[in-house]
Amino acid sequence: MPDEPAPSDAALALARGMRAFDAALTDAQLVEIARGIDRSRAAGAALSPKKKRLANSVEPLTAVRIPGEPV
Amino acid sequence: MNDDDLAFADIVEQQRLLARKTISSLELTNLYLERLETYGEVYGAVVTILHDRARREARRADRERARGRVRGPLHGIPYGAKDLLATPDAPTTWGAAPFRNQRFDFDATVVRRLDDAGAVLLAKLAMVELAGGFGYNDADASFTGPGRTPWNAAFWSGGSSSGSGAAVAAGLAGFAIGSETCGSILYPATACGITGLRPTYGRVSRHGAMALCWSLDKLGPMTRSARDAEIVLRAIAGADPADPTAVDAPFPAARRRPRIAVLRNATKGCMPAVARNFNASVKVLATFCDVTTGVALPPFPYDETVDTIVRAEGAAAFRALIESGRARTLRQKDDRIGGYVGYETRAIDYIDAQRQRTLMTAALREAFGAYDAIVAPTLPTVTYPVGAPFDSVYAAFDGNPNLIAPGNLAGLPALAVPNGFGEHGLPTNLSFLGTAFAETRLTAIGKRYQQLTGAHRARPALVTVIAAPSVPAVG
Repeated sequence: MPDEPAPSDAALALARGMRAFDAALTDAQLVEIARGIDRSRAAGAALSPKKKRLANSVEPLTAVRIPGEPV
Repeated sequence: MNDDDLAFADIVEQQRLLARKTISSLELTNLYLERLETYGEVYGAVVTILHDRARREARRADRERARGRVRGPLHGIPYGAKDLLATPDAPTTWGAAPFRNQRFDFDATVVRRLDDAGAVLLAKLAMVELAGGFGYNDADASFTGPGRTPWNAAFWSGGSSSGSGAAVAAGLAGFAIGSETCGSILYPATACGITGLRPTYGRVSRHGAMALCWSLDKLGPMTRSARDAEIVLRAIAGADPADPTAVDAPFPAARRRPRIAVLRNATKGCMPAVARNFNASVKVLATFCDVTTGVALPPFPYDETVDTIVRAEGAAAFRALIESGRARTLRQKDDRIGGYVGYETRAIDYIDAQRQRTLMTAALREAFGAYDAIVAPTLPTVTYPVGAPFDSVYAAFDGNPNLIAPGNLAGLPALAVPNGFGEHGLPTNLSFLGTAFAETRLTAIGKRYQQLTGAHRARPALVTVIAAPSVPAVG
């Protein structure tokens, strides 16, 4: 596999915060978490790209049902 | 009929033998219990064998039959359940070390419905830890070890319903229940050369099933034939007060001559055998279907959408695990950190992913709604080798326009059926993507296809010992 790019400083800062949950996370694991956060941000950017924003009218897919009530 | 013939017979054939009293449910159950003991661990397919429950249910089925009561086509038929379905008889482990001692005091709705139908629960079957929600990247991702396909034990049985696929393929159960968030029935159905049916979202109650992703999770049958899949689906479907997403919906009648469409570029980026077998399948389908070619998948960011939703909902579903730091005890190294990535998913990205789903659902209905099924190879390659990171193999086959993510995001049903063999003697498979709540139109096509072809009747040569572990050379 080709070498992956270094994670962003912002993602690395978020990753370091995970040591609050597991102090034993290694530096290498933090780098992997940060890379994952960067990939997650890139995916998020693709969901409403600057050149083709989702229209204001597009609602999220939701299906709220009240048990016992007619749909 | 010898024991092998019996173990690999489909539900319809087994029910015929039970009705003729050629065999009892207890005898069939004992046969499967013995095979689970012999082969279950070899293929990494089993978590817990439920000897007492299985024999108790089999005896009940035989007693009822002797009195003239037959509940239906599953009466006395033994099956296995993915170990994310709650039962009171054994731990429900979710495939994950942190939950290996977890217990529930009730049966999941699906298990209860199968019990009501007279089926016999044999075992809790192995699965990828947490159904793969934390982003695993190799086959060794369950606390029970890697699942292995009965067709070649050096290769993965697929995930996350690994044990369900392997158990059906190896003749260790009459059928199995799997679950799918995004591919977890269809992938192991392909890897194991069996038939898998992903129902429409809302067709089957998830009460008592582990939640990975509330807006995507489905439960469905994994079987030896399309006709079996329909039988099981009819038994487990329907509204459930305990799952507000589950509804009663009719099963539409099949058309005399189904209308199917071949996805544009369906074989692009596929292994040669996958493409060859798919093209041969289309020729068979053309003998009884009206076939349109070149129907395009509407362009959307399907992978980014499903990844964002699974990451966010998965982190919420396992928030307690993540915040406790116990994710470190998961088996696969990427799973130990994947929850932290999901934890940092932005709310705005999750909402935009669900907004994309609104557009995708409408676009897929517009593009595909005139057809009973869209067909494409389920996967571009045969299954991965055990012992190699997934992203390190098959780089030359970058994949066809895959229907798995679009179909799951739109909540649509899909039927996967085996259609031959490819590299390393491994099965290949094709998928039919249908319209909402029209599973029976898919099974009607699948049944006719399987009447005309034989891949679903092939049996693997089973082994009782895995040769010294080595990673097979693959392209």
